[in-house]
Amino acid sequence: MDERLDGNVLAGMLGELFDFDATTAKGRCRHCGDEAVLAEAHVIAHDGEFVARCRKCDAELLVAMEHHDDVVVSFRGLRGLGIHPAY
Amino acid sequence: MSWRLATVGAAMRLTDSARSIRLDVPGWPGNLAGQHLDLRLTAEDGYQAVRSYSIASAGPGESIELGVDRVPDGEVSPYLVDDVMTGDQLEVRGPLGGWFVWHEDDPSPVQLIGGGSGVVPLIAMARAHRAAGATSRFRMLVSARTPEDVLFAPELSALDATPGDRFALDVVYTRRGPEDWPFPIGRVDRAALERTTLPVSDSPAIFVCGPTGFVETVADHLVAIGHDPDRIKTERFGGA
Repeated sequence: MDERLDGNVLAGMLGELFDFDATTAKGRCRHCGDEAVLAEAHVIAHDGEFVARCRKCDAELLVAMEHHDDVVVSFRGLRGLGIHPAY
Repeated sequence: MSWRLATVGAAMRLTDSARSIRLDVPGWPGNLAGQHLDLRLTAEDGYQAVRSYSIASAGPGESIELGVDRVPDGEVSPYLVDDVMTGDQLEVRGPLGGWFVWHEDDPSPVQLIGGGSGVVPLIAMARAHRAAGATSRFRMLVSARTPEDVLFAPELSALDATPGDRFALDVVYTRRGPEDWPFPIGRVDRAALERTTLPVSDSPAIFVCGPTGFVETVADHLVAIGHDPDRIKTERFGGA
């Protein structure tokens, strides 16, 4: 079952990778250049896989998966991710 | 970040489809108002399901409260609403999320807008506001199908009835209102928002939580009314 959520739901998974809250970090979409905190991304959840999409152009920003204690995240659609919006 | 073992301390029916669940979590560091946690269930065959749930409580302490609404055909919420018992154990990870959070040193007026169980993180903010003795103005709009579907209704009414104008509650009913209800029955639209929420001139911090369709419709109306998109924070819930 697909669930349409948002980037807030990624906080736990990303917290396994980073020691800060990555959902409050600003990312820039590689496709359209929109800058937004990850919490504002649109997220589709399906069977433990989470695809985050740009709130403006719907391009894929990242894919995150968690299976037991393994977390894998691909940030291929982000040009940058930072606590300070400096790219 | 690591998973912690939580024990169900109490479970209380909130509505026909929702339950308040108190969890005792040794080592829980406390949480801000509006944060959530991930909850993990493991079946006997090793299959695991993880879902995010908003926390209805805020502040320090190792005892926290969740508000969970049953999502039909969901994997986790039916268990939490219908089956979980005092003493049961499950795993939680958190507190999570620094975006959809109210900070008690923020002097801005605040408009809370919740659809269904989207009320849960918002009542955490209302409770934190009261506990801090904050003087900022809080106004809350709840969208619910019927009067029996309002989560935490007695507590919200009591807050609303507290003398002074620090907290005000409005409800929009989408299916059926109380007897002699003077307002339209139906989904939250622009007219309902203009009638029940703080005006643009107050420049309120706005928190919207609910099902995805509700959140997006409400956020679009708020922007159309003239609110600054940067003042609107949204959280779309799942929790199936």
